[in-house]
Amino acid sequence: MKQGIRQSMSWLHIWLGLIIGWILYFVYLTGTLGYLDKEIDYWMAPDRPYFADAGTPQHQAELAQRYLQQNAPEASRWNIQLIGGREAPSLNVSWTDAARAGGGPPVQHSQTLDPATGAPVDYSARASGGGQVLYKMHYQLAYIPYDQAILIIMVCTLVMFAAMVTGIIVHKNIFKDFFTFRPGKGQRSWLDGHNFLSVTALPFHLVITYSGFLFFTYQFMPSVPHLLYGEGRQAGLEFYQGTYGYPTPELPRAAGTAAPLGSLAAMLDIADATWGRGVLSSIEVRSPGDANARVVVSPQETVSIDFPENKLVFDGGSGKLLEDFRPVHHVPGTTDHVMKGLHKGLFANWFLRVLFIFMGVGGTAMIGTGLLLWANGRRTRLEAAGQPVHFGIWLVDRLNVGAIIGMPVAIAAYFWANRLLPVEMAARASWEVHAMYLTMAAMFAWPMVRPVGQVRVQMLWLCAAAYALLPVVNMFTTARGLNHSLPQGDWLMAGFDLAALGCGGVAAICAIKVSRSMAHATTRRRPKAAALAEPAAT
Amino acid sequence: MKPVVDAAYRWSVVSRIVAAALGGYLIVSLLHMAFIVVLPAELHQSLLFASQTGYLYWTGLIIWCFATRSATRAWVGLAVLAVPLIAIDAWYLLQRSVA
Repeated sequence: MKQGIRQSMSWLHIWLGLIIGWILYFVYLTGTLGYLDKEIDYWMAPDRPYFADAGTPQHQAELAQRYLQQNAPEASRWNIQLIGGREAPSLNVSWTDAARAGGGPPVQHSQTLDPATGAPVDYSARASGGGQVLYKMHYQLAYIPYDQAILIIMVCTLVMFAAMVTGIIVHKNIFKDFFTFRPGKGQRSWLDGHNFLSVTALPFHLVITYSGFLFFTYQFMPSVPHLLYGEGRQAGLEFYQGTYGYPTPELPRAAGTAAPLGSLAAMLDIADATWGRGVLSSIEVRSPGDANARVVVSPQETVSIDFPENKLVFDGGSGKLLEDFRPVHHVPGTTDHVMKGLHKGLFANWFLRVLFIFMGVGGTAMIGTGLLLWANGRRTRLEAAGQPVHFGIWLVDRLNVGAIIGMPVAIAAYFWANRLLPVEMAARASWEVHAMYLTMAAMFAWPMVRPVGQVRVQMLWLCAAAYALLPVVNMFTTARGLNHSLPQGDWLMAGFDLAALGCGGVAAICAIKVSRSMAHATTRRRPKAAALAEPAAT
Repeated sequence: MKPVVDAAYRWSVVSRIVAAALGGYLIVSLLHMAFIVVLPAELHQSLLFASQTGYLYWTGLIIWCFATRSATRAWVGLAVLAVPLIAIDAWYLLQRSVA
């Protein structure tokens, strides 16, 4: 390519990074928010009341059982989601009606219960995409058919991974970069920052990127499964079942003879004794009130790094533990589950989760600094040679502002829309997303039509305001603002508001720093320009 | 320092990009099938292993395509890999259709 391996790899690193930089920045940003998907869900559903005292799982199960026995004794299946861990902020029961003779799909019902009294709690929840729609954008993007979005993301993932490997080859001093930061030196500082962010969380970046492949590997390279299994839905199912296999315990059909259901709370005592306390999360009852009733207890996601497929199966009538279901996968299957588990981070406790978020933000910043380096380096070289800045750099400079600052602003707009759009609005959840992308479009357009240096500072201030004012908007539009959540001890709601304040603070600091360095640069450049002008005058 | 950016250089870059993208895709797909033949494991396990590691090989191929001296060498390297893989895959598919 060029002179040596390091030069050609450096060339490849720079160009691979540039072509996918903006989309990757978006992927890293929304993907990082995925580590907080349920917390964001919670903030975006302010209509659901806050239940201060959850009580023990046993007590919750007792209340749920009583409610279901009274309201759905004939159902073919009950599901009970207990409060606990990250899984659910409220005690929810749902049930499926027994199949009717007339046919048609079985009807599903659901109800939230007060965990203290067991009384049904009715509230009308606003339609919202929540954290789920937001984090899914990191592989589904938006406004693009699913299959095509996956292909785009897979190509980007490959380019990302290649950019990382070439980046590693380029670096001589992987270890030294840990401790190297020379601030206030322009391009040198940005490069140090880029290296520092990349190197300190390198295992995270490599694993996140590589495991990203594994989710869609056959959507991307379907030829071999197609050759071996044929095409079509049935062949696909056969292939996926054989390759990945998500086993579930075998449960008998309903016997048709009535038998009373034993105490769910007593079964949860056995579950606690088997798994340890604070592990179980949800209960499924098959054929309640039947002689063949089975109770399946599932653990919380934090219980293991791969998919928490472990279940405890109880005999519904006697409450006896029938099976401690722990599926075993073949080695590539386990590898697959562990890699995907690492990617999703569902297993992470709060400490690890915070670490994940920091590394995700670091990765986002790694991409951002990389993009800035591309434009800054070229501009400096051209300016030093006295050549005009060409269109490519002009464009990259503007796209950088629109992406690096504008995308966080757009995400803030998504949150604002959740609070400000009328609760009864039609297609409300879609308009939350529209608000986000309309804002993003505006943020990309803004630096195109105004001086980019000014816009950079103004957009940072806008970003600061967009996040810092979120708690205020929350306070005025709901009864869940910090004035309520803090005294109530509702740390999930308060945590989001406080984090938004923190993000606003960081953006404000950036705005101050950037405007200062711009002022500094203009005062420094003037004498130089004067010195250059002098010989020309003589 | 700066390399001469002429038409030949640009075409060489295009050629390398095509080699890394399409050539890489083809080689990794061929490898998927070859793994089934070579690995002493059950079909699904071999397939899953191949798909799990495929992007490592692809990354290696991308680096090869851009690190080697000329675009022609990049293509020759890919061809050298492709020939035995095609042979193994064709043999396997023939056997399957006979059986």
